[in-house]
Amino acid sequence: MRIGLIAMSGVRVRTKQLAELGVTLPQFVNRGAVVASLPSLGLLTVAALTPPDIEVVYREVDELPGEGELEMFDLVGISSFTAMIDDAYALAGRYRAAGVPVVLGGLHVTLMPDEAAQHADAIVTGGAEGAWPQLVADFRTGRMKPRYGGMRRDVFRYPWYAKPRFDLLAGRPYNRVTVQTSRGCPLNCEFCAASLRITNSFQQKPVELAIAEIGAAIAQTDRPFLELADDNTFVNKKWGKQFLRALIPMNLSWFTETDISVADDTELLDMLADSGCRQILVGLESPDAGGLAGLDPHGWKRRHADHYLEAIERIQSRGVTVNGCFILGLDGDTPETFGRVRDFVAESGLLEVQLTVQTPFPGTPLYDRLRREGRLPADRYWDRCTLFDVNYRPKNMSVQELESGMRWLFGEIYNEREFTRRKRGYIDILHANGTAKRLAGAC
Amino acid sequence: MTVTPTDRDLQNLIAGVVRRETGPLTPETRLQDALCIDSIDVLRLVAAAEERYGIHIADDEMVALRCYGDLLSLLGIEAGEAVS
Repeated sequence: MRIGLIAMSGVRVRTKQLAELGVTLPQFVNRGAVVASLPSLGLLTVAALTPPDIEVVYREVDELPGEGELEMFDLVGISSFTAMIDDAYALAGRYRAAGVPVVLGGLHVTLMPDEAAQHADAIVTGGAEGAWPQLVADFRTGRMKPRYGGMRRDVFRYPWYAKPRFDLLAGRPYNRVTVQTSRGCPLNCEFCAASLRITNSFQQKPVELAIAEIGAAIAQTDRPFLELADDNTFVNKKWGKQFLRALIPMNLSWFTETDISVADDTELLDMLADSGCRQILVGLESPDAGGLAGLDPHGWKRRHADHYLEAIERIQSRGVTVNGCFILGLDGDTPETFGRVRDFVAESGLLEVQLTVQTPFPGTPLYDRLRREGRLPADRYWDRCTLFDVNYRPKNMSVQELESGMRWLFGEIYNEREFTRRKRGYIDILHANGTAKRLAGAC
Repeated sequence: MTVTPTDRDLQNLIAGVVRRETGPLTPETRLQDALCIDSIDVLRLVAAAEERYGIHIADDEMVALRCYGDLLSLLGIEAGEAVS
């Protein structure tokens, strides 16, 4: 038996003026391009959960044959996310028309199961752990059911855990290798459409499993830059220190996403630097504490906003850069917010900045609230869930004001002069904290 | 104390910054693609070179760094040669 696992990733900004900005200000889509070029850890996990007597073929959307052609399998599994889900449905339709059964899974499918079920022979909601092995067993006996629910807890414990099949990536030219050390995030922000939607609670992988995966992942590439595919790696500082202690001897450069509380632990910060952490991506969301009201159920981000500048300085002083993320168009935002974001970025010394527009991904609490408030378009807008296209009516400004404010801010933040200034600021930090001297003496 | 830049010393400096052997570098070697390093490591390399050789790399030269040869030119040395 031969199973094809197909990852549909990548986004295309729909608003014409923003798409044009992406050409002139490449910094503004850099992070999106990096994300789009990462392998699908979800499907590599599905591959690992497949019985060894079955041949598994991993494909990415760019590797598929041209229109009118199909690579044939006995069963096809497709994973995608909201912006590409219509392409995934179209591909599923082509396979089904050719007589090949199709299974759909992933975040969008989990959030919109009834919609997805119309385009597949079976869907998997949640993670693949606890669902895929049963699905394959049922398929073998001709009794595949229309829906399977994966485990939402204990996914990193045996018998549910499976180490992703990193060997399927051999020979591919990825810029980064990815490993997941956690799933979910306790902050539970209302806009979040990431891994917390497929878990009941924050799940942390045991250190020894995470380190073993990193070893397996970097063995497949000569580009040993590691990206942790987490939404909030250092929720548990004790776990974090154990992990970093094990990571230091591996001599890697790496990146992850976490929250600003890492700045409160100086020992952790020193270990981040010692382990080769080059950047952490932090969802600051807004420079104004007032703009963060209601964003997460416990007001965590609002409580921390007053300390953002101090925290960024403390992290970057170690030579670990911060990629500060801001969401534009929050309910607390006004037309004046764009200028305040620009001023905050200038004052903070952030090396990199990610600006996106608030996006009501279907199935999220934000989507439900805006739907109740009558602020969503009547038409289905999934292909515009790019994080750059505006799909809702903002609270304190018009759609036009939000779009023009974003374009103005992109120009202010992503122009070459400003980015160069931020790069020089980072080099100055390396001189000031002794890193440059240490590197200069290391050869 | 600063050091006189040479091709060999610069290659050693790069290996130290990226924390692994890079193999022999030619002027055409692209820093990010061929050495498989992140853009942030390029900035760390600039800082290390400034410190070791007692120079200041101008911002326009920093952002134009693409190849090993760009670094050699900045430091005024020929590939395979030492400068006294």
